[in-house]
Amino acid sequence: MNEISGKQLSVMIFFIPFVFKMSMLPAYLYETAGVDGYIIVGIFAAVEFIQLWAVLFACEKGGMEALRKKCGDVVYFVVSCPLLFVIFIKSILFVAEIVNYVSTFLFYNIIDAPIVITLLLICYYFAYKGARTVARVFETTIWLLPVIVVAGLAFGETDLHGDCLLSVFPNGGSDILRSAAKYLIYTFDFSPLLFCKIKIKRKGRIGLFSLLSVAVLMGCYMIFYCRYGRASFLIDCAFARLASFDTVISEVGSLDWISSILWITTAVLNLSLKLNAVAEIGTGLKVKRPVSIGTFCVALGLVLLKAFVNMREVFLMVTSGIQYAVFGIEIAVPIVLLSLLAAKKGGTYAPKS
Amino acid sequence: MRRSRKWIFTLAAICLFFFCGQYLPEEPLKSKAMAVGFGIDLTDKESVSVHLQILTGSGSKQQSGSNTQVISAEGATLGEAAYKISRDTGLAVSLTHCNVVVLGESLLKSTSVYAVLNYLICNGYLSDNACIVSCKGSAYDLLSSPIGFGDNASVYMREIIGMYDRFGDITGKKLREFIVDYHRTGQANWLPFVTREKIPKETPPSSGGESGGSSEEENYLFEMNRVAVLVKNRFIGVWEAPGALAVNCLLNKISKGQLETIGEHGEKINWYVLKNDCKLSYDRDKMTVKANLKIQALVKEIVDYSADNAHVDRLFVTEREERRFESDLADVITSFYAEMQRKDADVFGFKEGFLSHCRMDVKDVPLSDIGLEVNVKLTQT
Repeated sequence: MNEISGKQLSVMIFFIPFVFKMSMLPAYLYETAGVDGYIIVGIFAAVEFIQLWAVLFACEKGGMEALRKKCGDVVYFVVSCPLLFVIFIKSILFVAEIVNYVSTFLFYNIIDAPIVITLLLICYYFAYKGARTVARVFETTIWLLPVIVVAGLAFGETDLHGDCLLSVFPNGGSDILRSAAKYLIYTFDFSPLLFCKIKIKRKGRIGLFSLLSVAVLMGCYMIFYCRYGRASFLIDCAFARLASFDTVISEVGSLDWISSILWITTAVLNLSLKLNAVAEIGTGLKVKRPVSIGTFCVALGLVLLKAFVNMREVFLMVTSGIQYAVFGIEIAVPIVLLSLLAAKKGGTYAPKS
Repeated sequence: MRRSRKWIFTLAAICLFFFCGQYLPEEPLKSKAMAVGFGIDLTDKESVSVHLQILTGSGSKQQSGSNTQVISAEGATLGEAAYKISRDTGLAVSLTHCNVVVLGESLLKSTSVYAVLNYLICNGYLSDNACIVSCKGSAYDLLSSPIGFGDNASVYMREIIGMYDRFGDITGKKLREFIVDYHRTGQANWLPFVTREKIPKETPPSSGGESGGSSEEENYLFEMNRVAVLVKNRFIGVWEAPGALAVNCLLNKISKGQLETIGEHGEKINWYVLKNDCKLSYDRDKMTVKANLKIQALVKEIVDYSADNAHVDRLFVTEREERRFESDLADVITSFYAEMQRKDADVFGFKEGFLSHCRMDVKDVPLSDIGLEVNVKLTQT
């Protein structure tokens, strides 16, 4: 259920850091750091891949499953509960971003409740089926990328003014720390992979896709800032605006529908992977899979429909002090896991092939 | 998952989707007002008047072209006016196919241009690649003009501006570009300025025995070779075709340009400009911008109105005439820039260029202190 091949992992590590950094973050980063935003996001993504290698190393040692078998349920509970908290906070943000995208660009003037319910239902299904299903859909989705590139090259226009990228670090690099302190919540999303059994044959491919992800992310940010210049702070969904390739809709129809499919699919899969981690935590704690995912989704839905009812409230919550706790847990869990596994040297755990 | 549970789950999902589906807006195509043009005028009471050129598809009496109708409403905001149109027509206004935004003269000369347009860029209703133009008089008059060419006024304007090919003295501006230029250093902006010219349209006499000759209806042509300049929200003025040519040469791409020069013996030489490429370099010590402009052009016509006609049987030009072309074009650009300097309107974005290239913040430096050298290099094809 949670076995992922090396090829699928490569695709996932390309999309996971990319998806939610291309939604509202470009405008936020521009507000904080100006055009330095594209360098800052590159640094974010590069540092994120350090966590990835720690997670993959932990997966090679057996991951959370090995922790439960070697150290017992209590230790497993202590290590995994903070992850539940992290996933909950991040899921609030990700669901809010998807809902914002759908209600702004796909449908006009509608209430959020049906979108939240529909979204959670779909993510529930994917999470129930397991990481293998999520990985398979990721693998299929990547084929949309060449279609988008071909359509853009064939029909798109470019009107980019690269001059605005020249004046980097006007404040000497202090923007990096300020942005990092403010938008940490958008980084470090690889911890759900701790619950997967990954068969890695070629590490070179993982490195290649990691680099590609960083490069494409920075490239998209650069294009966005070249296109919108000092008005970048006004644009609430960078990916949706870039997807039109500067082409007027009536000429060839809407070019951005392919990109819409890509973004929504990968966003849903990203969220589903997190819910799969919740299911695995529940399984480790002797809670049935449908119950754990269902309870989590209900709690998530209630929070989004009753407590934090719009994007602004969600954003204020996730960028408060909570994000430092989230960041700390994301960093600490793989390290703690590796330390505990190393401490328990009684035999190795070999994942089922 | 057991098959029975899968079926139960699927049925539950279908029921939920039906339940949630009622919350989605049900607006089939026929109940939408598909706007192809969006006009805005400022009324005397400082509210806006919105005019939408809507596709009717009914072939009724032509107001502004085939199958369109211009409907107007007034409101304190664009949203309120659009809502009134939806309410009064019973159709949901849709701007997804609207590619032209027209600013009436009253709005252009007010201080509310950006405040009004901000609504369009911040919401996803209208593509930010839509063209934006300004016009003499009312935007309603422009959109509702019966036109001699094209389907309707909005499509006609879009075709003149040209989505892929640019005329030399017709500028084009997208909504996104307008907002971007508003926020850059200098905050100077320019827009195509459209005026209408009447052309008589003769209709044949009816065959029902009415006496007399033909009756005339009016059609209009649009002249779009002027450029309106604004600095932030302040209207600066309107410049004729040379101003538009100067803007296009430095900032846009030309593929259908026309330029006339005088030959060595006084003959008129007509050039067709095929391509332009402008590179700007910034000299921080001299506070000067150097514009290296490469032009590819070909000679189309040589006319000599003197009795001699000795120098017209050729389509080649001498080296001196080529230099004349270069100097004439450079003069057009530098003359326009001199006028911009007098008005302190940084339409070419030189202040932003100094910030990007030289890391110099020249926001408070008057434009008259920034020089411009134009070097034109002609390649005759």
